[in-house]
Amino acid sequence: MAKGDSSPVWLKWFDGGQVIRAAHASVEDAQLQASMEAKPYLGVYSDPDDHSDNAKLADAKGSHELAAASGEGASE
Amino acid sequence: MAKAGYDASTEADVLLTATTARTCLGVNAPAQFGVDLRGLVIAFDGVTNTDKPVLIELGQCTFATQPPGTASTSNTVQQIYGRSITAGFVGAYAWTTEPTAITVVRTWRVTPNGGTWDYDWPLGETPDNAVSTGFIIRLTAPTSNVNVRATMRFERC
Repeated sequence: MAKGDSSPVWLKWFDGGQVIRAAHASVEDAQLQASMEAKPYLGVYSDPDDHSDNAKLADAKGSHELAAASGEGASE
Repeated sequence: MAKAGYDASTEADVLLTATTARTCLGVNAPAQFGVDLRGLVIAFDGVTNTDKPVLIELGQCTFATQPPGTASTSNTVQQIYGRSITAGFVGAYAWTTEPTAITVVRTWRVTPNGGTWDYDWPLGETPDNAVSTGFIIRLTAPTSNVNVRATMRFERC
């Protein structure tokens, strides 16, 4: 693990009816990756199994906004 | 420039955790050359025929963070043909934290149930990139955990 073996944050998005996630070293890394791809990103989470925001899925289907950009959805 | 070919492989099984995207293999170019990606091999060891196909994403990567060898296992880039020089390509596999920034350029799916994908792009249609950047293969298994092995075939350009 990079950056002092710190715990990763998890970038999550919606794909084919499932929540997909990927480990990133920091919120900034995750936001940079989100800005590179046109995916319906849900946000950045410290817990990969945090599904508390899954209710947003319906809204996220048509949105490429990163919720964490405004602090919304982040569980840091 | 051509006729100097290299292979970079996962040198062990890489575990895909269900619904988790993972960069399984990557190579970064030195300041002198780019990567001209000739072909790929991707092979899964799954035995469950009800598992959904694995999403495969080929991406260009700047490696601004997590370059090969950081949060990943370094591999040995093997020269397969051509005149030998010290090319300076750096490869790795099994990232535990995703590299940034990835720009996905090709995407497709292959079944994890013993699925194997071995393909060379036609001459003149091979994806390439700039110096000091690289390529990655990012995989997402939608249903079950599965192991994968992969190889990139590339030339310097």
